[in-house]
Amino acid sequence: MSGATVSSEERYSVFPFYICLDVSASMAGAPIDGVNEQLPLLRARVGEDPAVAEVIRLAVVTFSDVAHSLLPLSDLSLVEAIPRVSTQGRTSYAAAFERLREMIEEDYLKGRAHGDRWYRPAVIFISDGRPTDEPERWRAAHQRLVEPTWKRRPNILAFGFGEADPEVLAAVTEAKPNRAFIAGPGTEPAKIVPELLTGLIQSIVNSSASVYEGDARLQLPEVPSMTAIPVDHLD
Amino acid sequence: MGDSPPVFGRPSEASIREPMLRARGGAATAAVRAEGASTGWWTLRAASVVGVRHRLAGQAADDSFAWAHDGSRVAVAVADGIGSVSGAGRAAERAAVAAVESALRARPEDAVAAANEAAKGGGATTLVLAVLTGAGQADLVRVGDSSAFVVEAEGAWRELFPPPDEERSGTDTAALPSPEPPVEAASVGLSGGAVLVLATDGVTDPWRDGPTTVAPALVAGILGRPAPLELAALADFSRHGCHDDRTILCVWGRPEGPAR
Repeated sequence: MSGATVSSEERYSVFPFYICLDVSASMAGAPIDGVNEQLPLLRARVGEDPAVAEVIRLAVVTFSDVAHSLLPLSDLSLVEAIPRVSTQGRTSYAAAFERLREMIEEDYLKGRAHGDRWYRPAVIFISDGRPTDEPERWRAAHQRLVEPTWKRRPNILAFGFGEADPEVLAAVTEAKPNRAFIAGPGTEPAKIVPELLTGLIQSIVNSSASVYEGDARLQLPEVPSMTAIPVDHLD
Repeated sequence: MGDSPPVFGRPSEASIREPMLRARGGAATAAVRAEGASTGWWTLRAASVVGVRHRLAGQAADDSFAWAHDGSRVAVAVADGIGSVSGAGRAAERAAVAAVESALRARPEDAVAAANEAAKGGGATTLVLAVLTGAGQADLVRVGDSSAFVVEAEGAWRELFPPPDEERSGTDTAALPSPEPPVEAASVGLSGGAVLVLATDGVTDPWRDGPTTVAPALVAGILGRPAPLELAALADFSRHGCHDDRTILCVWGRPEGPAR
């Protein structure tokens, strides 16, 4: 018999990750080919390790003019294949942030109904360009995503290359230190994308282990071609 | 680490995988540690098992437990090293030992100060400490998310510290050493065969999260006054996504005094 204040529902802890990927036209060619080569490796690496797969849930969101859920939040051990990505359109950060907010809230409520207990979700934001929407619009959408009163607000890591703007990426990560990264000048996207996704795979695996270390947190990936964008420490 | 751990709720496939043998090891860091013995006043059972995650990675547990008694009074502690900090397991051991030693001479709050001092030198740890008198009174303090329960003889149970926020999103926890440890206190009178249970979050989280599976199984097992190895086997249960180190320490009192 349990105490009067204890829930009678069974709960299982999960750590949700949302990879938010720029698929605007400028990503065509080597960058998107790299994504399509690496995502199956991510599925294999995470999905085939039960100690990781039992905890990690992964979603892939793509954005250009609009944002789509390429892979709904999933247990990767149950996913047979991640759909291939194709490029189109411009770079609407607003569409990405709006879709993320909707998905996270929907996934949380759905998960709760199935007995999931969530650790704070992580968003991994990857872009090769500046936002093409009006600054007011993407900033408002971003503000809703990171609103302090919203309990599901995610931790965000941002990675940029090509035409991505370091100041914008720093804003996406709320100017938190070591959350926004940019590729060095002249670094080929064909080199960066595989390196970045390989680093992210290890980051996700390491993050799943941190669940048991008293401070579940997003572990930073190692991406040698990228450096942290310096920001003021606001915390 | 049996081939067929008890399954409470959805099974964990990871829990039945063969562990990776650590490159170095020894008795002090063995995957299973257990103790069970009595004085005239008290019966103690304690078990600590390495979690699935550490087991598969070939790593030792970061949990620890300790006890000290001076006849009628017994001090017991459980500590959970914060694994992201190097030396966590050793910090947990130092803090637990210092806490119980100090608690026989000083107030529980002062014992936390001793544990805080002992935790310095690398690593960080939670701590829950209980001091029990021969009359069945238990005074407890804790820092961090290790916790304590009372299990009554008829099977009812309650947690002695506030449980985590149902809506919490992270696992951040207070820990020692700290300039000003956030100490929580509780007290309880044990009577009628009630059992005091201290445990790390590897046990307490699934206990709370499994009210129809883990909780009744652990309560039934505890009330059966298990042998130390039976308690270890019970703590080594399989549950989907539950891969943390697990430590559980149980104390039964004999309020009428030592048996003749």
